[in-house]
Amino acid sequence: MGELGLEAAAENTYSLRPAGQRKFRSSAVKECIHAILKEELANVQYSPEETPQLTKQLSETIKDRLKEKGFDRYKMVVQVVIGEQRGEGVNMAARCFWDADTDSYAHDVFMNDTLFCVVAAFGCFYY
Amino acid sequence: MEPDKRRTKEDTWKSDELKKHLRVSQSDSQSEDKKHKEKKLQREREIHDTVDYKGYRDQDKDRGKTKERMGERERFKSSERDREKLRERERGKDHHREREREKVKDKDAEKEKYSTRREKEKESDKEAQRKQKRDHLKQMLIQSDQREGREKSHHRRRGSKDHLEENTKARDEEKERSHTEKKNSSSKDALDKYLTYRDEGERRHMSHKDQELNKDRERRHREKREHEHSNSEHKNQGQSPRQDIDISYQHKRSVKDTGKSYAKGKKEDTKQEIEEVNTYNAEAGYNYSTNYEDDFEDYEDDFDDDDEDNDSEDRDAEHQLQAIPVSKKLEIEEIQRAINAENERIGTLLPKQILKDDEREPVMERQDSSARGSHCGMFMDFELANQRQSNRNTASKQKTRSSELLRLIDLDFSVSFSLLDLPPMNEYEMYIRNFGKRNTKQAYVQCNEDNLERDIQTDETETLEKWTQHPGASAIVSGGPRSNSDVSVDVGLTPKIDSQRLANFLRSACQVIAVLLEEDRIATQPRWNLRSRQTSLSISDSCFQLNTNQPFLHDRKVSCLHVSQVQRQALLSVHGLPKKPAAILLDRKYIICVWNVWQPSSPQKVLVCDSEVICCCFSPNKATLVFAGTVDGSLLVWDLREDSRLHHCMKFNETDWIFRAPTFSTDGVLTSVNHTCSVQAIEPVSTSVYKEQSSYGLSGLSSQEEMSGLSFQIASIDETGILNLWVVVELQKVDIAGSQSDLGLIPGGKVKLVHSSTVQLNDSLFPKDMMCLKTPLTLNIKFQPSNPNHFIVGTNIGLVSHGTRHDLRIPPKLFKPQQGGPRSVRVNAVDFSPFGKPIFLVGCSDGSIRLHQMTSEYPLLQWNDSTDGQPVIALQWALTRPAVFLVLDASSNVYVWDLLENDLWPVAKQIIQSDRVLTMAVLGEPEKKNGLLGIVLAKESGIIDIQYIKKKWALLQSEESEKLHLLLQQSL
Repeated sequence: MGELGLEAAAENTYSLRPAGQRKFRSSAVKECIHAILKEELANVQYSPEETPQLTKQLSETIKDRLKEKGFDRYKMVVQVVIGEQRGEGVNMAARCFWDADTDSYAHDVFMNDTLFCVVAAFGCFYY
Repeated sequence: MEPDKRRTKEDTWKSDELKKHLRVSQSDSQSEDKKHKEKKLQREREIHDTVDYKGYRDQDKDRGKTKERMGERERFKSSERDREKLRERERGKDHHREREREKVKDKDAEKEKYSTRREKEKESDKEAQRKQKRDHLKQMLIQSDQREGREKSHHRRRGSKDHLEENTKARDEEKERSHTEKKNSSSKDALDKYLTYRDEGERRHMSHKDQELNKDRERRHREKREHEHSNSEHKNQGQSPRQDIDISYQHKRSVKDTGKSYAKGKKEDTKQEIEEVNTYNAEAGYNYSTNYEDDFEDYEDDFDDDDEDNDSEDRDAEHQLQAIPVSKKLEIEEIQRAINAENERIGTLLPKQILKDDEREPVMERQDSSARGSHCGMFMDFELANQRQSNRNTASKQKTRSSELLRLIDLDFSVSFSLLDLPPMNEYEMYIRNFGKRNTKQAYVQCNEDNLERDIQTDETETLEKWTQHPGASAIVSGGPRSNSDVSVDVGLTPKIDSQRLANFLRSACQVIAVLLEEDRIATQPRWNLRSRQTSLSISDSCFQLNTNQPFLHDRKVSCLHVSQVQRQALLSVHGLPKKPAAILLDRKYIICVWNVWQPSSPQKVLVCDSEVICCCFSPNKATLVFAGTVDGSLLVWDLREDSRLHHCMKFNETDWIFRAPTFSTDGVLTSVNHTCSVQAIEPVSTSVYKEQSSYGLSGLSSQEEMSGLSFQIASIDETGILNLWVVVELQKVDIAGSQSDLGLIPGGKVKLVHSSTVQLNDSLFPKDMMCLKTPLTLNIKFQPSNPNHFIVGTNIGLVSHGTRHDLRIPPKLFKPQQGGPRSVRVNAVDFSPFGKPIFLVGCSDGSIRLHQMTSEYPLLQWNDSTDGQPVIALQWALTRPAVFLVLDASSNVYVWDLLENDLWPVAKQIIQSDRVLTMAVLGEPEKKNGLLGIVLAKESGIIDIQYIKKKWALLQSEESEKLHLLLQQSL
């Protein structure tokens, strides 16, 4: 499953809001996630041995990519779920307790014949 | 100093190691003191924290116990016992704790603990001595505070440098500072603490080897001297170390009670204490050390080799620590904090935990100080306290920060995000997904197999279109293609050639050929010489017979004869029904034979009709049409040009005979205009003006005119005096299917009759006075050849009425006999002179013969007795001579009259007895001057005889017509 990625402890900046550009934009993040998913999972078949590794690697990749995006003072949580498609029904939901002005999330779903992959990236501003 | 992985019961100081450690610590006392202080703070804090966590009960207990301890020195032993128990318990728990805890454990601390424990054990022995030394030491304390603090800090540094991992330096410093401030408040207590510390240190000192202690002491002294002047902070620290020391004493006491797993800093504290003790002892004399050393138990055996290594490492580290800057101190403090935390966790289990909060610390210190007096050898865990302090500081900082921030920020629950909603696949989708991919084949099975549904396609019925006609008079009564594939062919149609020209040619050619063939046959078969047969009649030269010996003419009587006026060789003979009709259909029909006199062997055409033919005639221009009037008042038309395929074909004696049905019949079709009673006479009426020159044949007229119906009409008269005039119409297009409008027309027929006009003869011809009794019957009609508008009608009252077509009254209206007036005498025959003179003969049923002329009412000549009263059957002018006429009476006598020769009596009379002559017709060819005048005699036996009259009566004489004219004028 997922992995918790924390930034190094930052000093106090006394700014309660992130800068306009630095705000966690869900659309940009979603695009980023989508691109990564498409690139990584294009021809992947679900296998019980490899998929745990794949999820970890995927979450790492996404986290690193998001960090490069330059969302300063944002703590990111990237959760990757990969499940096998065998005709079962799946319902995933999330709820957060945060400051709705600054914090946001982005998610994307990738499906192919054998698997489905849900990636949820939450960004919380570190005041 | 490296952290030791295994924190076991054996991981405590060995006496040698401790000594070494102490020696090292002596050298860099200042730094050590500082660090020691910090570590102590951490430890205290940690202990406090752990105490906090574990619960009030234990703390209370601890507090109580410490109070007890402090209050009652007499209970030292008991406390010692308790401590021992706790120690044992600690040991038991230490095993678990050490494994649970992180790897950063300070062996030195444990060794310190152990040493403290050992020291405590010997406390009782040394208590009194320590008390004595306390006062001495008080003064010493102040001086050496700093150093001790430094040493302690150094110790701490040494002890915990390797063990620290997660502790913020700032926090530690803060903690320490606050801690030291609090500690500075109570100096007295500090003194007491120091004393106790010193005791403990003595104890410790006792446990180690003398050399080590001395070394350490010396080092410490040096360090103290060095660092004395340097830092003002250290002053505080110096003060605080005392407090720290005190506190650490308390800590250590508690630690001793709890267990071995104390931070390394504590070990250093003990070391420092030992050092202090050593210093004190150094100043006071080293006698104590030796004494104390002897008091200490030797627990070297308990220690592992690892501890020794660690000790050596520690010693090395201590050397290094001398030059360590302040930042390193922080690290050490962090390590100490970690150690303290661990210790706290273990310590909180035991009931004898005392310290909880920083606030309680001064109280504790006081208590501790009092207790210290009673319980010497209790260690103060300054490091833990420091750690706890720093932790608390950071926590409070965060708390304040968060509370301030929360005022500005709104945190609330977000909306639930649905990250994925994948409905389960239903059966069908799974099936379809798998179906398409795998190598599968679909098949279905139906249960309830007896209820199968099946597609049924009826066989296509073969159809064939046929048509039929009833009554099927013609040859073709039904038709239709023979099979489906054939298109319905019109069987009756001739091939598409110029059939008109071909037909004409063939017609004319055929006759010629037929004649030729006939002659040829006659020539080849001499006995069948009908022509030149010797006649038995006196009036004739030769005769021949028409071969009526046909199978279909058997037993039939000839009822009527007619010779065509145009085609002199054409002869019609009407044969009645056979007496004994055979089964064939033909025997119920009346037959009209069309003969070519030159071909007497067989009739040219055989016409059949259903009803009795009373009268017949040819078409006036060309003998192509045969008209007949029947007894039921219908007119029949035969088109002799018709294709024989239209008619019924029968085989007689291996020869096919075509029996022609009427082309047109007015029977039942034109009933409104038709005769209601039998047609008495039917005569062609030429519409064009008849000219004398061309009286012998209207050959001038083209066939088209004739065909168009403009050239002649047909007049038919019935008994009631109705004269109908019919127009002969020839259709352009033949419809093999029959005409829907002309119902009397045979399918495929071309000629039809169209009613032109009707003349009521009774009204016009007879005056009212005549018709007194009954309506006279009109028996025959003849049209004047020169003027076809005029006609004469013979009646049954002996009168011949004169009529015109256009209903003009031209006198004489009546031609009466000489006797005049109507007489019940039937006019059997009327005949105009064929040479154009307006004279006509009338033959009556009483045998009288009259010769009338058109202009006078009374006859020119009349012969009454010529036939001996026998009715005149037939009367006809000779065609070759204008003065000769022939009469046939009912007794089968033929009379030849020659007016030029004898105008009273017939010149010849022929009696035919054997085969009675039923009717007679005259034929001849006036165009040819051969003088052949023949009479056609239809005998009763059915034989048709043609007699050629003797030449003397046949040949035209010169100027005969003038002579006759003269004669007739004379008779006027």
